[in-house]
Amino acid sequence: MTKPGEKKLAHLFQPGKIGKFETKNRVKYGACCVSNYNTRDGFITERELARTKVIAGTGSGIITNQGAYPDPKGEGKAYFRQIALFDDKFMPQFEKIAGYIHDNGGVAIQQILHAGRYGGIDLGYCIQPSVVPQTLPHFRPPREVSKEDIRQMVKEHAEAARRAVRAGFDGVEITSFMGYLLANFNSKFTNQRTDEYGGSVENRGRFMRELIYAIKDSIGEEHPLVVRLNGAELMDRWGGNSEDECFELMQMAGKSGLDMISVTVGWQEAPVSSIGRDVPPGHWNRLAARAKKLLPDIPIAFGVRLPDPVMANECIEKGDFDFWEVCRPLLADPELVRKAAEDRLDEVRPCLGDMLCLSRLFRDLPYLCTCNPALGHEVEPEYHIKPAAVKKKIMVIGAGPAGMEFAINAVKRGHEVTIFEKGDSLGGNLASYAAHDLANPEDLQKLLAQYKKMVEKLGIEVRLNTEVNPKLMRSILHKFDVAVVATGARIDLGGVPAAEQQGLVISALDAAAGNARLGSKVVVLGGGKIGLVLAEFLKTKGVDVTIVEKAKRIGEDVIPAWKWRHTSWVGGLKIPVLTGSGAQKIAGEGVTVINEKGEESFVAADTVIAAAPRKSNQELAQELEFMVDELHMIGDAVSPRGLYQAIHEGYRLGMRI
Amino acid sequence: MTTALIDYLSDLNTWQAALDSQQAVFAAMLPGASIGIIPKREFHSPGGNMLVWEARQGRMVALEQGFSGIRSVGVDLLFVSDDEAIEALHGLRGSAAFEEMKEFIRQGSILFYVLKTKDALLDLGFEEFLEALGLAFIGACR
Ligand SMILES: Cc1cc2nc3c(=O)[nH]c(=O)nc-3n(C[C@H](O)[C@H](O)[C@H](O)COP(=O)(O)OP(=O)(O)OC[C@H]3O[C@@H](n4cnc5c(N)ncnc54)[C@H](O)[C@@H]3O)c2cc1C
Ligand SMILES: Cc1cc2nc3c(=O)[nH]c(=O)nc-3n(C[C@H](O)[C@H](O)[C@H](O)COP(=O)(O)O)c2cc1C
Repeated sequence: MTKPGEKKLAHLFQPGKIGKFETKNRVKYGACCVSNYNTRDGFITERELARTKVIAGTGSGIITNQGAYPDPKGEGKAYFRQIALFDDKFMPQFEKIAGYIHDNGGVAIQQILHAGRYGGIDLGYCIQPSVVPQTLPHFRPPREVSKEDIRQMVKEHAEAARRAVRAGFDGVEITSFMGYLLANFNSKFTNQRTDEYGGSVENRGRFMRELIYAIKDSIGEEHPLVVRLNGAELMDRWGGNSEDECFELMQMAGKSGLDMISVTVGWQEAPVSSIGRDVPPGHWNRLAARAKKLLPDIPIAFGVRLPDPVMANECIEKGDFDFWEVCRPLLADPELVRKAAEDRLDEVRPCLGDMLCLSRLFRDLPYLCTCNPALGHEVEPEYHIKPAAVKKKIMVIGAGPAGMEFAINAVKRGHEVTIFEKGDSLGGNLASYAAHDLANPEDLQKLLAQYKKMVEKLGIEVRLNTEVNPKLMRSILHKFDVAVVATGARIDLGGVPAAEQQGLVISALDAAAGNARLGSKVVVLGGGKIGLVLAEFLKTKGVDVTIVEKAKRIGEDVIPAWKWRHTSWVGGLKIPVLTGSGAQKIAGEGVTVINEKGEESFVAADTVIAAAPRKSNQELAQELEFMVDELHMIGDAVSPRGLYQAIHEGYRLGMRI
Repeated sequence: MTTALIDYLSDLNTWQAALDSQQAVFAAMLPGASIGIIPKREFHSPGGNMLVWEARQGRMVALEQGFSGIRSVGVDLLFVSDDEAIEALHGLRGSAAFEEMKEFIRQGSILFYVLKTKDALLDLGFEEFLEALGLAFIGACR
């Protein structure tokens, strides 16, 4: 029977075709190549298998398994715990994964990923078409490949592809995503060869054509080959390919006998965003539409920063592309496709595009997701929802993300939960953050809306405008077995010099909650994430803002892959920043600032927003110590941090209580 | 290269004065740590000179060296700059010079190549300098 969402999103849920294979819908799970869950020598672990089982169960018509490097030397290896497919010894786990995908009715594609310029992670070098030094110190110094090396690489790709098919995969994918080997040959930035592999577009595309021919030859006509190609490299300033050249190469690939093109955007080194939250959803759709126009007979897959199934459905209807290729939104919520089919989109956990996943990968850590605390822990029974052995009556104090995440999971396990919130709405500081985010507030608002929806759907009792204090507690304590303190953190105004004039200094949290009147000349004390978000927002509203930060640099508490974003906004908005500095005196006309060298300066201000230091609201926990059987703390109440820790702690406590 | 630009690049006294006004940023650098600056045109058709900042006896000094191409360049970090950016930076002092340089990097008027690995750069004491210019140390899918 057709489900209600399948009817609404009829184009997305119609069957599709790749080669001779029918797909049950138009969703392709895009390779999130490297979870970093595997062994250092390329074997797939139980942790990975458990995650892949969840991925296989997402309901996607096509599932692309993460990229395996094809060479025994590891020149193609991009991440410390990337999987390998250069030998038959790796096959048993691939067989299992192909099995999981087939058990769920999906078409199974194995990606072969040679990272080229970003490879050789265990070696002292990486290989490239030409010696073009790195622009990011994270990567290895380059060596140029010989023609003999090229022949060997093509052979290794073909052999790895053949192994994938022998392991039961229906087809294979090669990738130039984010500047890997294939992209390095295609691009005039990294390919400066003077032989038949370099120079003209025709020559630069030779490696790609040879790869396509060799792989098709090795896996056979009946097995599809997908090629991921840049619609835009975003490397113009480095002398990379223009969009026109990218599409010339795409056309060439199309003529070489492949079965699907996946359009990607950007290189790792690109100076502008391609997949972060600051890129509006749908921003790159035009590249897919151009590919489809150019190659109407070849299935086009696309999904870069396109997290919305409704938009994807419209694009497929318009003929912009054929398959919605989703990666991070399915990491954030593996139930996304099912929820879309059941018309429950308001229950979807959104991908925030905050790059926690990639920040972790580039620190050589397994990836995690802010919104999906179970990601990477699928193998651990402790992370699965099971009915609680003892059903408890629980009070949650604070309706921020930590409190709500906890409440939702505790209720799912059979506990009875009441949320007490002193404010007049759910959301805590997530709501304030969402109201000021410069990147794309909609993502944070969707998360907030999803929390509200789940609280309502699960019938969790909420008492708004109710501040829990010892007096209230004494009157209700007999009703609860457990108290969970999720009261967040505050700005410690005691850490800021007293102002001569009342009301001049306000807490950043009050300012963000809209509880304070601001002037037109603002000094923000504290250039951490809260101060930065506020300062950037105010500046875009025409307020004259200066940031004063004690540390040497701003953004010290920001996720690594997001720091540059703040630095760039602050620079772009021309917000003056005084680092290594603190407020010495706050008077009616402004702030006297003193730096590490003891030099004083004066910044005029009619409002001073204190965004630091932060202090956990723990006093209540101390007061409740002997009032309730079980007492727990989660989120910023434990120590002032951020969204990811609040959500993960709420989830973990909900799972185990 | 235009005469004016050659003059700017080889005006070592002025560059030295700029470096002296910001020696704190280079304080952690080990002797021999070096940074090259060349105009974009020179990068594409080598054979001329490169401005070099090299750590020597506890301070950064401005020198001039030949540039015969990226494969043989001996510096740890190479900035490849538009002529206008070099002109604008020449003569600036103190933190203003860094702020201006940062802005040129952000806009793409100054490109940079790293010729040592992250660990080597850290060992050579580059962290403060790279951070001051807002250059990423980690991989950076954006
Ligand atoms: C402007 C701004 C920008 C931010 N930027 C980022 C960012 O870029 N990245 C990031 O990770 N994080 C950011 N944050 C921080 C993030 O929002 C918090 O870390 C997160 O909300 C913490 O969640 P929590 O549930 O622990 O606490 P909170 O969200 O603070 O919620 C605590 C709740 O408890 C309630 N409460 C407190 N005491 C009582 C009581 N006695 N009785 C009843 N209720 C009580 C409060 O009213 C509040 O609703 C930002 C926050 C702001 C304000
Ligand atoms: C953690 C992570 C790892 C990824 N690794 C790869 C990869 O190795 N190969 C590849 O082709 N794409 C890779 N991608 C890109 C995704 O397949 C996808 O194209 C990209 O994330 C944009 O789509 P999205 O907005 O749906 O996430 C990766 C993405 C993420 C988030």
